Amino acid sequence: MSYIIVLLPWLFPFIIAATLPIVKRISEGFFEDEYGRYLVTSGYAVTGGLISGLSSLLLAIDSFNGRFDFLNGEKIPFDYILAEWIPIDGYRVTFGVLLDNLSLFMANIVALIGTLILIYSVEYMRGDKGYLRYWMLMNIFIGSMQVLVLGDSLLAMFFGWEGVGFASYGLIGYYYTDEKEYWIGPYPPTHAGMKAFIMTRIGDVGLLVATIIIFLTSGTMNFLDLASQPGWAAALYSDGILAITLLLALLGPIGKSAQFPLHEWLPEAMAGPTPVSALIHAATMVKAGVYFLGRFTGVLYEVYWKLYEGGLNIWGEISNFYWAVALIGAFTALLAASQGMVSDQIKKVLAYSTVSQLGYMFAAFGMAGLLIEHPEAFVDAYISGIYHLSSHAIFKALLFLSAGVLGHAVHSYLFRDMGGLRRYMPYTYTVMMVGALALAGVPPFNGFWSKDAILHAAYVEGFTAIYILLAVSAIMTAFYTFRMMGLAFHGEESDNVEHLKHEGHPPHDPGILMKFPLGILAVATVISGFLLPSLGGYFKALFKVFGVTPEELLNVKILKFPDFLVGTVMSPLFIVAMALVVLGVAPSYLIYIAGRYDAEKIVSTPLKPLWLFLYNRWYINKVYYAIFVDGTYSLARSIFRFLEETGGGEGFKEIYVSLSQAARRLQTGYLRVNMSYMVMALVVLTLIYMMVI
Amino acid sequence: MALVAIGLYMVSTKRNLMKIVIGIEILATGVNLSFISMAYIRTAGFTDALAHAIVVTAIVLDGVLVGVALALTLVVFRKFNTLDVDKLRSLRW
Repeated sequence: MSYIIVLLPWLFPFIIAATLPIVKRISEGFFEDEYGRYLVTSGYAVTGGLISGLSSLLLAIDSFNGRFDFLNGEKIPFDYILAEWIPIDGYRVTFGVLLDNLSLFMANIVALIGTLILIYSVEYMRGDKGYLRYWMLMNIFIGSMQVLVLGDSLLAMFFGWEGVGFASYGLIGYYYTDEKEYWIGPYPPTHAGMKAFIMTRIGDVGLLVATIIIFLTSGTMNFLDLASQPGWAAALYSDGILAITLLLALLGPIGKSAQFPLHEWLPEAMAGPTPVSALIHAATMVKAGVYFLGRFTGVLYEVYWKLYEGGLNIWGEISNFYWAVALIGAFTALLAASQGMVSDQIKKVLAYSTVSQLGYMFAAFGMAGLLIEHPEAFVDAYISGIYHLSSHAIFKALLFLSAGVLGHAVHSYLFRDMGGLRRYMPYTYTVMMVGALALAGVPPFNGFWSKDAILHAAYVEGFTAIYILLAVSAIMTAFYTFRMMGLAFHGEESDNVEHLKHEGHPPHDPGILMKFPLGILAVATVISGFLLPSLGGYFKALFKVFGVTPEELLNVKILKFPDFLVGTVMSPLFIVAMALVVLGVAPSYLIYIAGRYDAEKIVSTPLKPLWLFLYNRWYINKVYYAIFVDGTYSLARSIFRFLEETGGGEGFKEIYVSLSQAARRLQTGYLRVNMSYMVMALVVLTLIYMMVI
Repeated sequence: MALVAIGLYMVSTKRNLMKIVIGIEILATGVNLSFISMAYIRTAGFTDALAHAIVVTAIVLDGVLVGVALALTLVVFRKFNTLDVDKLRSLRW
């Protein structure tokens, strides 16, 4: 097998995107009806994700024994350098594909879930006028995401980083005609796309600045070089700016993964088509920040141990950075989960939930970094973060796709237009319930195992504050999950559902193309929960590679399959975890499913201010708008008034008129005068040249 | 270099547009010649053919340049009925 398989995962979707308009045009010659053309175009587009997924799956399977048999037996990590920028002394910029356990694992999540979502979209986007734009952007997204994941340097990663940002912007604002039915909250889709773009850009500037600082210090951007030559960290440490540089770099993941304080773009990003929300704003793109943390934690781990062996302990600065990561993550988990409890739109509940679960992953990686001195605990926390990343990608994609089915069925995402749908959509109800149980953390679904792994790490290693924040978020998660299920599927039928029945279009289960991905994801949600032990074994190689392999790491016990299950269920933390779930589910069940208490009545009691506080998203969004949006507007207005209305612009006019009158004398219109200018310039330049030499 | 000087002198002083075009050509030829003459230095035992390659390209470009310049001259004559550059003074303030 040739090296082309290294190119396929990320290059192929771009090729598909570039040739898609041609294929659509050709299909117009063969098919009279719009449906045939649509099927050809979308089928062609799906192959982009499919080939990308199959090739990365092949590479991952090939990597199980630690080397790539397809690639002439290259060892992990394998950096396949495609191109090198002009080399300057001491600075080296490469573009390449980095294949190691982490990147291959993430590439598989992206491409395989992406393929399922593309298959789902074939039915979802049927009859939409702008489908060419949709399919092109989806393929550009998958390609860029693979560049981000497989890129071997900070620069290559940044290319992918901006590519997914662009695709996300284009797809959030997909319904650019801004009809009222696509609005999320008070904002139209184009506004939401712009908001997402601008907010993530704030973080990207920080990431870029940190990249440049690291590049100027180390002379390389390659992850493997950064890890194996830790001189840059020592230099930054002696200047006392290591923690600041890392925190600047953290701004990028904060923006991309929608963490506090840049989390406000994600709820509005739900204005795009639902498969977009599932793929970009739940399963993959928002995981880019978490992936970056995982990648960079690996680098820092090796750097730390190398410097430690050389007699320099940079723990002080690194711990500052990781405390910030862990606390931001834990706080965001709580913040977003509390907002999810009162939202009135199903997609917004899922968006808040995504932000909250990403907070769990940040907390896991933050704790991993804080445990960098204890390799065994470090590996545990690190793997719990990756594990939650993968299980969240699966069950959240499932939940979003189910929400898309609901939206198709009742033509709305508002809870007040749903209710009692269980009878009409039994299949959707079943699969969505599987996703909801996983999100709420009920065993044996994957969400339970991964969330419990994070909570376990937090408790065992004594991060009490983080443990409490995450545990409270877990209660809220269980509550809003079942509130969502209750409002959508149980209770009384809303007027909208009655209306649809009268029209002769009662809500119904979707067709086979939508059922198939939902079914696969539901099965994956159930079985992937049991994969943690094998995952630990897979990632152990990563730390052998990254690390200097201190003695303890070689002795890390990777729990065997039955031991792990028994160990989790028998530990006292299991009872606590169950209590958290029950605490959340019980009130939600009584209010929304059994209907014992009236939600309106509870909210109209003294809880009203709290409800308003949560419903208005802790007023963070309002404050941002008041400062940045309105502030910019008023600044622009005052400048306009100064220049145009009060005559402040007259001064500028005078300056330019006098400048022009002085300069125009040179323009005589005689050709020979212009030529003499040229000769004079030639003489002067020659003289300067001679003097310099 | 003498050819360059002659060319510059022609472009600067002549009033007839045709003569200016001829001056530009002499200028370009002078540049080409000085390129070739400076490429006589042998490096590593043989003459580097890079200068010759560039000059061959430049000669081709000169041909194109003459075509465009003559076409412009023709248009100028049709429109203004003169080739005297001192009368073509609309490019002034």
